[in-house]
Amino acid sequence: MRVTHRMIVDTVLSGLNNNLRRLEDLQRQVSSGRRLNRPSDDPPAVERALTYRATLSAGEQYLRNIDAARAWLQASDTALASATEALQRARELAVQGSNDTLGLDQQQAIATEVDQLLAQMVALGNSTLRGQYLFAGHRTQTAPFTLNQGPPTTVTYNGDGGAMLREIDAGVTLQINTPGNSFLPTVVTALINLRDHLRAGDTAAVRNDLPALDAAADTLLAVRADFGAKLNRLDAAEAQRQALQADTTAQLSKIEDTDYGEAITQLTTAELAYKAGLQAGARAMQSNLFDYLR
Amino acid sequence: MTTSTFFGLDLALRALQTQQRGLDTTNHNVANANTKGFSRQSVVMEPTTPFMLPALNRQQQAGQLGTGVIAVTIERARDIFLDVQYRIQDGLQHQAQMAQQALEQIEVVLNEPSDHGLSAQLGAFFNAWQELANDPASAGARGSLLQAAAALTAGFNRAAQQLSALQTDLNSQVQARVTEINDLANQIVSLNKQVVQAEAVGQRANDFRDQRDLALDRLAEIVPITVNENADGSLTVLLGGQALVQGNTADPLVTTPTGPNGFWEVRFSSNSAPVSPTAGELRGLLDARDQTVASYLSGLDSVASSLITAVNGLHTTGYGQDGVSGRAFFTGTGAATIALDPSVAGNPQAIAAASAPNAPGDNSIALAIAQLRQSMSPAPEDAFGALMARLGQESKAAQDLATNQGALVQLLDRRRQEVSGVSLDEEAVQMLRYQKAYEAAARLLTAYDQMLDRLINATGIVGR
Repeated sequence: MRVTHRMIVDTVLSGLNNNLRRLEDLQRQVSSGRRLNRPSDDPPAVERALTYRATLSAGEQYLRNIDAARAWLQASDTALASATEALQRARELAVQGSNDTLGLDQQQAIATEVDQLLAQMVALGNSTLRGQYLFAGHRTQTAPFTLNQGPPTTVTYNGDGGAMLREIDAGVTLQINTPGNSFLPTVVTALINLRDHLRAGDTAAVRNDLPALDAAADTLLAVRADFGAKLNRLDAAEAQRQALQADTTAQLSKIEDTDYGEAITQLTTAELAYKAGLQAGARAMQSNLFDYLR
Repeated sequence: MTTSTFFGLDLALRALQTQQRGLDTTNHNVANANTKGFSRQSVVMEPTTPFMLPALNRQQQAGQLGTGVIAVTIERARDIFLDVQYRIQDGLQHQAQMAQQALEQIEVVLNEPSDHGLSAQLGAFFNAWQELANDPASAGARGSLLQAAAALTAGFNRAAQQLSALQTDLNSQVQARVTEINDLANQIVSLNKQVVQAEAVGQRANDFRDQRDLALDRLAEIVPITVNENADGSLTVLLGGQALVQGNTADPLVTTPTGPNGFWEVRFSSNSAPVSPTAGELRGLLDARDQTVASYLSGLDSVASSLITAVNGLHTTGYGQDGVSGRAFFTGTGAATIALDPSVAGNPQAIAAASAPNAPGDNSIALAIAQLRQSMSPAPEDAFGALMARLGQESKAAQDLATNQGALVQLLDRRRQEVSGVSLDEEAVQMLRYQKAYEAAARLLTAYDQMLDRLINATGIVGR
């Protein structure tokens, strides 16, 4: 085989070029901290990286959805906790008012307090979170309950039965609202009857109101139990999602980020190879026969 | 018959001239050691016709007297079979490079994986619908959604526009390559003429042939060619079976705009026969323009159009805060044209989050659109991810092919260099050889000179 000097120069150059390209690639990985910069860097890894990124992006949103749902349910639960307290006070008043020994003005005083509880109950039914009525179904911009003093006193529901769903996990939705017409009219009607019976001084009727008040309290408790169960579901979904996010972040970093230990070792090797190539090249190109002819 | 008195002088002169020719050729080789396409040359020396020297006692010749040397011709060291192999592989290498460069540019345009690419924008778009679903009456959520949607449409538009620009660029490269093919064809024609002229008088047109081979090397990088040498030394160059160059004439290629994009189509000018090369840069460019880039454009289009259809399908059934229904969310049909519907753009109240009028808390449409992220088949992010996976695989395969093909071409080039390259060591030896032979011939001339001096000036002085 004939070997010419140009062949040596070409070989040296292409070898140096390969080494330099490898060096540049490793230096970019180390300086940018990223192993994947374009799809061809590692096609299967890039596809997984995109899936993980989509999972993380959706996951962050589910966590925000869970926060929003929790805020709504907590506000609803707080409102109904106050309603339960008000109802307990009304029951105490009913027990007092059912005592036959009470004078008429004492009964009237109790009736006035029940009337205030009634107004409070309607106000609680019109509770809002950041300007949205909690118990109005979909008609969140309209106060759902109006009390018509009458006589006879009635309560009207201006909302609808609309369900508000929030997606708390991929394809998993949770209804966060309970339209007020499913529980509040029972409670309000019980209070209206109690007040009217107290005003009329009808102690027997007041006594008979107690079961209705208990039934109303049970209704509220059932709704609150539902809220509690849903809040628990949110907590569980959140914990699960947070674990998944942490896991996915770790996986993504594993395939997208530079493994410094490995990259720096490779970088050192590549530098060594490049320098060795330079030395060998310089030596090979140094001389030919003409140098030795005198 | 005896030899002439001055026979030795003539012989020495031929020797001097011939060795000098050898030294000149060595000089030429050294001078062109780094010239691209140069093949080392060598002087073919032959003894000149010998004299028949009759014997004293018989008619027949007693022996032949050598009359010296002559330089018959100057040859170039070239293996035309290696040229054929080299050109085929080099054409494939350049085709692979074109494919690789186009795919690399597509990767740059689509810029994945990143926090700012289309996949991130798709995610942000669906998240904005989720935010609206969380708070359907919120002006802030509506405004954010419009921004996320505008960023997404701009992302699609920009990608489509840049891919189209890449196609246009590839198209102008097709034009440039056709111009180059015609230039090379003309060069080959004029070199054909020079070779024929030089060789008609019995010379070898080595340097013209080298130049012509260099032009063929470049031509074969652009299109696959078949080269046939005619008896007079001129070449016929066939491209896809039709003559691009035939001796003294070239049949230049022309480009005509065709198809909906008005992209160049390449034809022969003589009979308008279409040119469809099977390899080379031109094939690489045509494939990149008509297939590779086009397929990623249509991939983006299909992601965009299915998103438009799905989102609009839900949005038109919903109600804006103003109680109006039937509005589209997007207009357009693909990645290049996707835009916010004018009835929605700049009008956040028109976004239909609700499935009924006067239901400010109703998020059912917003939620259904947000859930398209998973419920669409294929999900937009998955479809885009699959497109990126295909891009990565194709690009990687093209890089590998270009690298492997490059190694093969390098190997064949080395084999050509083994035959044709100038070795300085070899030339140094040749230089010594010719120099010493020249010196020896000069010494012989001196010997003859002294002989003649003896004969003319020192002989026959007896009568003086």
